[in-house]
Amino acid sequence: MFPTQKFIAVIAAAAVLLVSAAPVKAGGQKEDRALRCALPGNPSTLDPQKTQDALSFQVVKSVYDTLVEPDAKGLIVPALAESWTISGDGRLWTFRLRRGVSFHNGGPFTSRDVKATIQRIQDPATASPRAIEYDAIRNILTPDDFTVQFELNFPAAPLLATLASGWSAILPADLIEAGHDFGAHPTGTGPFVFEAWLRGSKITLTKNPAYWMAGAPRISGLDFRIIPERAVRLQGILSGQLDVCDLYDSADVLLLEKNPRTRVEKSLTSRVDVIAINTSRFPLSDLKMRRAITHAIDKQSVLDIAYGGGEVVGTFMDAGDPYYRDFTDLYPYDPEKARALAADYRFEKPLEMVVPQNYEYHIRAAQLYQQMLGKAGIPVRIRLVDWTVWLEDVYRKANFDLSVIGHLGKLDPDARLRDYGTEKTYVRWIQPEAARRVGQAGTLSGFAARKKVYDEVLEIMAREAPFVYTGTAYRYTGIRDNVEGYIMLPKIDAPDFRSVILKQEKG
Amino acid sequence: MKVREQKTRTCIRRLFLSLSCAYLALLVFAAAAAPLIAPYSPVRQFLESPLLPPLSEGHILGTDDLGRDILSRLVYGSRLLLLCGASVIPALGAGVILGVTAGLGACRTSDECEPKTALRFSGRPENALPGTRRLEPRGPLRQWPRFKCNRLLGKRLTDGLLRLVLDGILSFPAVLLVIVIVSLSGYGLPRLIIATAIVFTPVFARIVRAETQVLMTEGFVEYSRALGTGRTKILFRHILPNMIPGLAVRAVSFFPAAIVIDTSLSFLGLGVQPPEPGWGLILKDAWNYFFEAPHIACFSGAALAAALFSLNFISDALAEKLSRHI
Repeated sequence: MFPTQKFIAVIAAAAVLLVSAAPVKAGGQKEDRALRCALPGNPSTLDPQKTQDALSFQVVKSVYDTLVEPDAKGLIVPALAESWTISGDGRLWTFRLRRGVSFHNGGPFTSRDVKATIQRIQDPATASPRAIEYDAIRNILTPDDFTVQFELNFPAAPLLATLASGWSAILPADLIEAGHDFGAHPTGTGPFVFEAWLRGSKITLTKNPAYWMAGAPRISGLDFRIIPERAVRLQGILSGQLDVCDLYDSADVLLLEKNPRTRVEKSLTSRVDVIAINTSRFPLSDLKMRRAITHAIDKQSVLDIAYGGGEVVGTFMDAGDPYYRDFTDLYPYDPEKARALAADYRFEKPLEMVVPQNYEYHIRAAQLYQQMLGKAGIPVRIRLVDWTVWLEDVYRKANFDLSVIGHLGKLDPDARLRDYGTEKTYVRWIQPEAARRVGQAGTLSGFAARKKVYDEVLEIMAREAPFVYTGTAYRYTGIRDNVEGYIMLPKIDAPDFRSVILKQEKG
Repeated sequence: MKVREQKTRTCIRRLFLSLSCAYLALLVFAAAAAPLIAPYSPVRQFLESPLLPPLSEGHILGTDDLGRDILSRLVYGSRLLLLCGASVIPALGAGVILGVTAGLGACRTSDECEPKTALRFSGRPENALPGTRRLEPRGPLRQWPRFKCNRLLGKRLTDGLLRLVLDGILSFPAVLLVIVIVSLSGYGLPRLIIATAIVFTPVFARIVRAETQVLMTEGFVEYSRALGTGRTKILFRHILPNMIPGLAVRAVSFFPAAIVIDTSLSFLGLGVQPPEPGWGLILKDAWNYFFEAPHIACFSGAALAAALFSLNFISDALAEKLSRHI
C-alpha cells in the first residue's frame, strides 16, 4: 500500500539503535535469559508506600510480596500469610505467616517486619498517599515470630484488599530502622531481586533463587526497558527486541496479530467506561430521561469503535470483578424506545457533554454518543476540557450535564461504590437506601455476605441509571510467541511474572 | 546561458504561482459552496464502514475511524481553515489603530513633526515640493508641552505605554502565548481566533508605528502640515493610503502563519472541537490510525501543506511585485 513499509523500516532502524538488546541465541535448547518488557515511562519511585504511580507498581510487584494477594480473577488468596482469621466482631485480625521466607538482603521474614512495614506507612513522615486506608488499624501485636494480629478501631472489610495492594508490600524491619532508601534500592521478599535502575533507560531484576513459591520464578530475570515512543515499542516487539509490551492503540493490535511471531493477549481492564449524568439538573433528574439516554446508546458499538473492544456492563462494576452482576438486559439498546421516551421533553439548548481532552478514546466515544443521542432526539454539544478543569468543574463542582469518563476499580468494591447514593458524588445521585447498604457492606466480612449486599446496591444503581454503564474495555498486551504464562492483574494494574516461561524461538 | 536560466526560472515561478492561485481559488470555492460539493454532512457517521480506503463506493477519499466521509470533512474543514487564517484581519485592524496612535504619539515632541515651529520655508513655496526636505534655516524651537512621566516610558507617554504593552506581548513565543490565552479562556475555535489575533496585533502595530513615523517626516506631509492641514486629514489622506501596499503584503504573509498556529493547536486539541472537521483535528485523528489507514493522514496533510505552500508563494510574489511598484 502506502509508504507504510518504508516508514516501518525507518522506525525499525531507529528501534534497533534505541533498544540495545542482548543478542538472541539462535537455536539454543532452552532460553535461559531475562524477559524483556517495555515500560512506557520512568517510574516516579520504586518505594511502594510513597507512590500511586502505576508504572512503579508494574516493577515493584516483582520485588516485593504482600501478606495476601489477588489472583487472576480478583479474589484474595494467601501469600506471605498462609492463613488468616477474623474475630466475630471483626475487630481482631490474626495472620499466620509463612515460615522460611527470607529477604533479598538475607534476613529472615518475621512478624517484626510486618509490624514495621505497617507502622512505616501509617507514619506521617512517610507521607504515603494511601495512609488513610490503614486508619482502621489501631494496634499491631506480634505474639510470636510467625503470628501478626491487627486490632481495629472498627470492622473494616476493605482492609483485606488494602493488604493485598501494592502499597502493603512487606519491607525488612532492619532496613526500615536504618532509614534505607527503598525508592532507589527496593529490597523485599519477591520473586526477583533488584539489580540496577538506569533512570530513563532500564530497570534490571534478577531471579530470586530462594523464592518461597515452589518452582517460581522460571526465568532468569526481568529487564524493563523504558521506551516512551509508541512506534519504538511497537517495532521492538515486532523485531524480537522486546518480549512483552502493553499496547495502547487498537491499530497496534492489528499489526501484532498479523505478525507470525507475536500474539496479542487481551484481558479486561478494571475500568467501567460511562456517561456520567448530572442527576441534579432537569430533565436529567427524571429517571425517564435517563432511561431514554441509556436505551439510545449502542454500547457494543461504542466499545468496539472507541475503546478497542470490551464487554458491555449494565451496572457500576467492571465486568471482571468477582462482585460483578449482569444487568445488561435491563435497559438494552432500543433506539425506538429511546425516541419515544425522549419525545416528552423539550430541549431549549443542547445538553453539554464535558470530555477530558487528554483521553483519546473518551473523545471518540463522545462523538459516537452525540450521534446516537441526536438520533433519539436528544441534542448534545461536546465540550473538551483540560484534565485539571475536568477534576475541578465536573468532579468537584458537578458543573456539567453529561460527561464521558472511565471509573477505575480497586481490589475492593468499597473503593468504587463509597459515597454513591449521597450528594457527595459528582453525579449528585441521592438514594439513601443505596448509601446505607454501601456503608453496611463496608463493615461486613466474608465474600458471600458482602456480595449479597453489594448485589442489592448494584441493582439499585442499574435501575436508577445515574450513569450510562457502557462497559469494560479490554487491555491488550503484545507478547512474543515464545513467552508463556504471562498474567495481568487488572485490579492492581500490574503483571505477575512468576509463572512466565521463555521457550526457544522457532526458526 | 544566464538569460536562459533566468527565463526558465521565471517560467517555473509563473507556473507555481498560477498553481497556487488555482489551489487557493479552489479552497475559497470549497469553503463557499461546501454544502453543494460535499457528498455528506461532515459529522455523519457510517458506523458500518469505518476506515474505508480511498476510491471506495460512495466515499471517494474513504472514511475515518468513526465512518465519516473524508472528502466531506476536508471540504467543510476548508471553511474553518480560512477562518483561522482570517484571524489576521482583526489583528491588522487593531494593529493599525494602535500603531498609528503610537506613531503619532512618538512624533509629538520631535521637531520634524512640527513644521509650524521647527521648520520655516525659505524662499518660494516651490522649494518645498514633495520629497524635498528643507531643514534649513531652522527657526527657534518652541517647546511642545512635555508630559510628566517616568523614565521607563520615555518622554512620550502614549507611545511609551503602547510600546511597553506590545513589546511585552512580542517577547513571548507566539504559540506559547496562544496556548496560555486559550487555556485560560477555554478551548474552541472562536477563542483560538481571538488569541491568535491578540498575538499578531503587536506585529502589525510595530510596522504601522514605524511607517507612520517615516511618513510623518516625508516632504509631502510636511508640506501639507505647513499649509495648515489638520492631523486627521493628514492621517487619512496621506499616512494610511501610503501604508496599504506594505501592510497588504505583511497581512498576506501572516495568513499562513496564523493557519499554522491554529491548526497545530487544533492538532493538540485546544482549537477546533470534535466533531467539527478542522484539518488539524482530522490530522490528529488520522495519526492514531496511521498504520491502518495512512490515506487519511496523507490527504489531510497534503491538503494542508498545499494550502500553506500556495499562500506563502502568493505572498512572496505579491511582496516582490509591490516592492517593485513602490
